[in-house]
This record gives sequence, C-alpha cells and structure tokens, in this order.
Amino acid sequence: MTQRVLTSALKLTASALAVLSLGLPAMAQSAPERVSGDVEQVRVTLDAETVALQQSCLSRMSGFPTNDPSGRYQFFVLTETVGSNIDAATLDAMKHFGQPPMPSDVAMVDVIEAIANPVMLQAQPSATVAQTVALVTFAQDCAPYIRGQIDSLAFIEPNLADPTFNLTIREDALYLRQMAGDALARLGAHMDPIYGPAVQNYDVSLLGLRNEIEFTAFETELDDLEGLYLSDLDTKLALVNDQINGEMDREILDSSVQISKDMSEASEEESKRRMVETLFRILNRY
Amino acid sequence: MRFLVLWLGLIGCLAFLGGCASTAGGVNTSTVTQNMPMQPLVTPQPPPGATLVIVRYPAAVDPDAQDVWQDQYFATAGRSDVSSNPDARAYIDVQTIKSSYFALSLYKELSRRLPDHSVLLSPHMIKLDGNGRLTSEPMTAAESLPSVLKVDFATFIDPNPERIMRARNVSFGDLVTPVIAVRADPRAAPSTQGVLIASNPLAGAAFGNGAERTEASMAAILNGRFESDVPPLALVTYVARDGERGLATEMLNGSPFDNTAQLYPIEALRLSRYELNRMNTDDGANADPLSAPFSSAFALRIIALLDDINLGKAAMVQRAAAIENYDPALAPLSFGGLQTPDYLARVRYIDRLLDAERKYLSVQSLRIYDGIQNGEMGAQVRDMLLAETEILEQRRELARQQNMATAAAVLAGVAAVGVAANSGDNVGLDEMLAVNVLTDLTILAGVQAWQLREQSMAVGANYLGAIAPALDEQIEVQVDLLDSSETITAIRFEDLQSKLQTLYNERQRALAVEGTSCAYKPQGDGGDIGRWNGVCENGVANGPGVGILKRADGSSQQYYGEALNGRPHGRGYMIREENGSAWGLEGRFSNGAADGTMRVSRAGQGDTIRLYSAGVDRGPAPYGAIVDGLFSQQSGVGS
Repeated sequence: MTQRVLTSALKLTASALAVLSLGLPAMAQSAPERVSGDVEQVRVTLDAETVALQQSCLSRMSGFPTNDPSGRYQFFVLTETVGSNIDAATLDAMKHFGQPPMPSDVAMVDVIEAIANPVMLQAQPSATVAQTVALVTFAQDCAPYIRGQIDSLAFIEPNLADPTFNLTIREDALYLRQMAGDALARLGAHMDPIYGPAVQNYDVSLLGLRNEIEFTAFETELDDLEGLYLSDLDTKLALVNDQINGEMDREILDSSVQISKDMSEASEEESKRRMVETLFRILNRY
Repeated sequence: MRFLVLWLGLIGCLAFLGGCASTAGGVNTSTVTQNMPMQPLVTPQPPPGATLVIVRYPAAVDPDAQDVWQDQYFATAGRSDVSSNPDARAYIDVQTIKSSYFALSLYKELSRRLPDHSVLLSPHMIKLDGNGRLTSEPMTAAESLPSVLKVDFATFIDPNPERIMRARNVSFGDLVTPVIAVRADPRAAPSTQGVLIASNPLAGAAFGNGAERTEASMAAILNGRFESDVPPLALVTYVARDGERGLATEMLNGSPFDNTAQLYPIEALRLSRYELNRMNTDDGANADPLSAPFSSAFALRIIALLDDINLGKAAMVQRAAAIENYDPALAPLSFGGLQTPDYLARVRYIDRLLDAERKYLSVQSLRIYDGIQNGEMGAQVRDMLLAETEILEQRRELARQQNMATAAAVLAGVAAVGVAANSGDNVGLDEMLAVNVLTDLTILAGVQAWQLREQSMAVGANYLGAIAPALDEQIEVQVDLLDSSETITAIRFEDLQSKLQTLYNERQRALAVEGTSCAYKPQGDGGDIGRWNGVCENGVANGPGVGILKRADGSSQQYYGEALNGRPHGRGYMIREENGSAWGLEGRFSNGAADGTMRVSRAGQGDTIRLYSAGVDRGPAPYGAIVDGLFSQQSGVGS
C-alpha cells in the first residue's frame, strides 16, 4: 500500500521534481509573468546574479547522490545543520584560522569527507577549519536551494521524516562541528584577542546543539515509550470495562423497581381499605 | 349544638394536620448560573508537568466504615432519630452512586473546555483512619500529579426519607442537591488556605483541610522533603465534624477571587426535563440532565478561577514533590529563577517526564468516564433516576390530590361551622341536615388527605426498601471497575515511571549547584533559625530554595525564592501566619525584608500593590509599578 502511494506521488510530482532538482527557490525568481490562454503558463525570468549563484550551488553539490533520495536528503540536512547558527563573527574567525582557503568551487562531498578525517585534524587543523569554512559558506549561500531540496525530497519520500533517521544526521553534523571546534582549539583560537570571543561563542553553540540533539533523542525515545504504554493501557482498560460491565446483573434494578411498585400498589389497596374502615367507624355514629 | 361545633373544629384540625403537602419543586436555575464571572480570553494552559483540575468525589464506602459513615451522616444532618430506619440508610447509599455519576458531568464540561489531558478524575473511598476517624483516600494515582485546582463534588441530603417531599436538600428523582468545594494549594490563596468556592456547610471543613495540609507540607519541608499531601474530601471532613475552622466568606458572585472564599448555598436543583427524557432513548448515555442547571455554568466558574489565581503558585510545591521523585537534588532549585544551562536542561527533561505521566493518568480518567457513563452501570443509574423520577411524580400527584382533599375538608368544615353558628341553639331540621352533610364531607376529605399522605410516604419507603440490592450491585461494579482500572494502571504506571527514570538517568549531566538542607535565618544571626531546602553555602541559605520557620508561639513563616547569607534576598514569595491568619507578600526582598513593589494578599480584600522599604509598608505603589516577583505570569500594576 505504501509502495503504491509513493509511486503515485512520484508520478504526480514528476514535473515539480524536474524544477525542484534545479533547486529554484521562490526568492531567487523575478516576478512571474502570466500568459493568458487555454492553459495558464508561468514564465519565470532570472537575473544574472541568481543564475550565477545557482550554477555555483549546483556545481558544489555535484557529488551528492542523485539516484538515492535517502543519501541525497542526508547530505542536504547534514550541510544545513552544520551551517546553521553560525554568525558572521564566527565565520570570520574561522576564515582567519582556516588557511589556506579552499577553492570556491570545491565539491562538498570531498569537503565533508575531509572534515571528518581525524588524521587531517591532527596533522593540519587549519585545513579542517578551511574545509569547514567552505561547507558553512556553501550552506549559507545556497540555503534556499538546500531547503528546497530537503522539502521536495521529504514530500516525495515521507519516510525521510523519520525522527531517528534525522537524529542520526544531526549527530553527524554535530560531529563535524566538533571537529572544527577541536581544530580551532589546536590552533589556539580561543586565546586570540580578536577572534577568541567568537570562537568561545562557537563552543557554546556546540553545547547548545549537543543538548538539543540529546533532548530530541530523549523525546523520540519517550514518544515511542509513551505511545506504547498509552495504547496498551487504553486497550486493557477498555477490555476490563467491557468485562465488568458484562458481568453486571442487568435484572436486579428492574426487579427492585418492580418489587417497589408491587409494594406500593399493595399499600395503596391497604390504605384505601383502612380509609373505608375509618370512614365507616366515624360515620357509623350517625 | 355546641358539641357539634367542637366536633367539626376537631375534624378541621385533623384535616389541617394532614395538611398542605409540599410538591418537592426544586429550582430550575442554580445560583451558579447567575452573575457569572468574566471568562478568560485565552484558555488557561497547565503549568509544566501539571494538570489544571482534578474532580474528586466519593465513589465508595469501605465496609468497615459503613456504619460510622452513616451514623455520622445522620448526626451531622440532625437526623439521628431516623438512624435505625433502613430506608434512611439506603437513601444515604444512593448518594454515593449519584455523586459518582454526576461528578462525570462536571468532568465532561471541564474537559471539553480545557486543554487535552488537563482534567483528571479522582474517585475516593471513604474509610476509617488509624484512629478510627472518618477520612477518604483517592482510589487512583491521579492526585500524585501536580494540579492547580481540586474540585470536590458530591450530593448531600436530609437523610430522613419522610422529608423527601419538603426538605431543602433532596437528591431524589429529578432533584439533585450538589455540595462542592473548589480549592487550590494553600500557597496560592494563603488567607483562605486555598479555599476558593465552597458549599455553605463545607467551607469550614475545606478550610480545616487546607490548614492541615499546610502543616503537613511545612513539616515535610522541615524534614528535607516535599510532600504533595492529598486532603480528604471536604464532605467527609464535614460529616466527621473533624477539623472545621472559620474563614472569611462572601456569597457567590461574579467578581475575581479577592482572598475571600465564595459560598455556594444549598439548593435542590431540578434536572433538565428534556435530558431526562433523552435518557430513555438509545442516545441515553449522552444525556446530561445536570449540565444545563449546574455543571456547565460551574465549569465556567472554575475556568474563570483558573484565570484569577496564579497557576505557578498553586502548583509549585506539588511540582517540587513530583520532581523530587526523579531528581531530589533538583527539586529545591525549582523555586528560584535559576537560568543556568545545566538546571534548565534538567528541568526540560523532567517537565517532559511529568507530561508523560499526566497523559498516562488521563487515559485512566477517560476510561473511568467511559466505563461508567457508557457502561452498564451508567445505564442502571439512568434507569434508577427515571424510576425515582416516576416515583417522585407519583408523589407529587398524590401531594396535589392531598392538597385538594385538605382544601375540601377545610372548606366543608368552615361551612358547617358557619351553618351551625348561624343557627344558634334553635336548630331546625334543614340546618341539621346541612350540617350533617357538610360534616360528612369534611370527614371524607380529611380522611382522604390522610390516606394520600400515607400512600405517598409508602411509595417512597417501598422504593428505598426495595432498591438496596440494586445499590449494592452498582457500588460493587463501580468498585470493581475502579479497582481493576487502578491495578492495571498502577502496575504499568510503576513500570512506566521506572523506564522514565532510566531514560532520565541515562541522559543527565552534572549539576553545577545542587539543593541540600541547611539553616534559614530570616532575621540574620541571633534571630530565629528555620530550615532551608535549596542551595546552601557555609551552612546557610544561599540561592534558590524554600525556607520554613516555626516559632514557639505558633506563628510561622514560609519563604519561596532566592536567599543570600541565610536571609530572603532577591525575588521571592513569603507567607506569614499569625494567630491563625495567613497573608502573602510577593516581590523583591533585601537582607530578609520586603524591599520594593510588593503584591500583598490579605483576607477579605483583593491583592494590593504596595511599596515597601526595608520591610516597612510605605503605602500604595504608584500607578504603573511592576511587581518583580517569582511568578511573572501575573505581575501586578500599582494603582
């Protein structure tokens, strides 16, 4: 059933996907021009700067998987998370310590692999920082494209929204950011009179991200536990309710009420009889 | 002839004694529906990890306590003379069933207006405590959760079955006399010990419960613990005549809570005729005859109260007790405004755990509602109500007939006396015949009135006498439902809590500061010394926590908030109790004394915003002054 729904969704969104795979974000488009006719068409024109940025983004993401939605999604979410919440001061500090800088068209797949390489961290921490700068710059420059890709992939493949899967990606992103933090520490960046405060802020943000990821993991596990226990309790209580209600003597109230009615009728008769007797006694004196 | 006049006078007296019967009317519109308070613009949201309302009611009486409960009930109602009447005892038993059934109406009305999982049911078992005194205990774990308001609901009657047709408090057929007590934690309303609204006879009992609860909570804090003490039902305390105390009260009104408990008078409500008729249909389970005359408006009053009182104050100590179950070192820190990342991270986890507990126990409440309302027991209670209503209608008809017969007897008697008096001593044959006919009519009508009265009493007595087995069955089924529900829930709840604890322990990092116990010295060195649960340094209070000081003269001081060198210092909330009267002071403290714009809560008046300097009240705060208190939710503005 799931497979059928997915196939259908793929068919429906095939044309949309063709556009989205180019990563055309709404904000990068000039005002759409509507052409009247039997079939409404929307003609979009792009300015030169947007086209150049688009080309640059496409070039830098060239190594991302194209025939594996899950792998492609993973790379985009990873990139977005690594680039999130890094302010200009922190990026400047990274640029200062990340020498020499990476070429502007470096493929992000290679960058990610390089940051994750512990040997490079030990041997050439400034290169790890430079690679991080390249990744963060890509994440920030191409943010609308990346978000567009994530949304379209999640729409096509709803299973990608799985919290555990996303948590794993965020943990990987935290790992990459920690590598950059370690590299900066090895370079003595925390003590730098100019860039030190920004680097220290970066450490605080790492702590925040770590806490956030841990809490998400906790919540995911708790949600599962909660769902399991709530549904189990609800089912069991419903069963016991049915069982106890089923065992209730349904006749007993009716019998009690009937007995009460019979008794009342009998007392009414008795009362009337006594009234007649009383009247007879009283009136008898006449 | 003189003898005849005397004879007629005697008959008239008899007819009058048979008397005009009451038709047990009741009121169609409750006092709670009149002069309604303003409703909040935004639906109140529960504080983290807490519920908003717990509806408590007597669901069963422990067999060992049955006789004591009934005897005390008779004594409290001033009806010990009928205590040997089995019908009267059955009439008391019926009230347990009705309390259970109609409490569901209030639960439903609150649940449909408040956020999901924020209203719980707490059925109570009436039993004897270790000293043989009447008390009540919750049959489920609902009250182990922090809550803002506890609402006691029950029906209460004059237990003399002969007075069903004319007592002020009747719960029979289409008449219901609710008694209620709405209370918050005493810290939220210190001057009334938490009592916000109470039925006229229950106010003193609810106040007494609150005072006992404060004492127990203070004693626990002095021993280094936080205790979420559960008070017995106010009705049980009232019936037991145990621990009642006087408090400042006013009649039910539409004004916001002004540190005075509002009194709800005793009234027999007439259930909705339309809904009663609906009970007899396939849709009977959805019929709610108490909604229109009472529970819908009462629910709105409770929601208005939620908007009046400070939710954080009401839940803070219970919340600390709940936190303590998972993390004892964290609990005392919850009273201050700590903003350290380690503290905030832990609190976030704990709130999520308490939220899971709340959702879990709310499933139990929903199933209790479902099991009774939609189950066989609900159907039987509805049948019982319909049967009672039929009996009451029958008795009303008999009462009407009795009134007519009485009127006829009196009229005929008066006419006969008139004829006899006009005739003087020279009575002719015509006069004699007329007097005889009128006399016969008087006798006939008078005897008929007596007969109808007897018949009416017999109908009620027969019903109460016959219904006992059905009552036993209903109570037994309800207890089975609640016991099974609680057993199933408790086993799994314990298991869930253990899993939650593991989940929590696995993920916690060290706390930079931890709550412990040390000295609380509000007056500094040389003054009285109390106990502090919170952050300590050099053996004295130094950071957020709770301080308790009890003096030999019986006066006491509670302080919740920040401290420095053993004294209140920073944002805090202090409750002072002297001569049995408590009042609250909230705002900033400096070296043990109120200092700045303070919110003052005193009995009999609304909260006032005053300016304090070094502990001295300097008068009303200027307009626009803000109270920088622990509970930012309701910061006050000076006038």
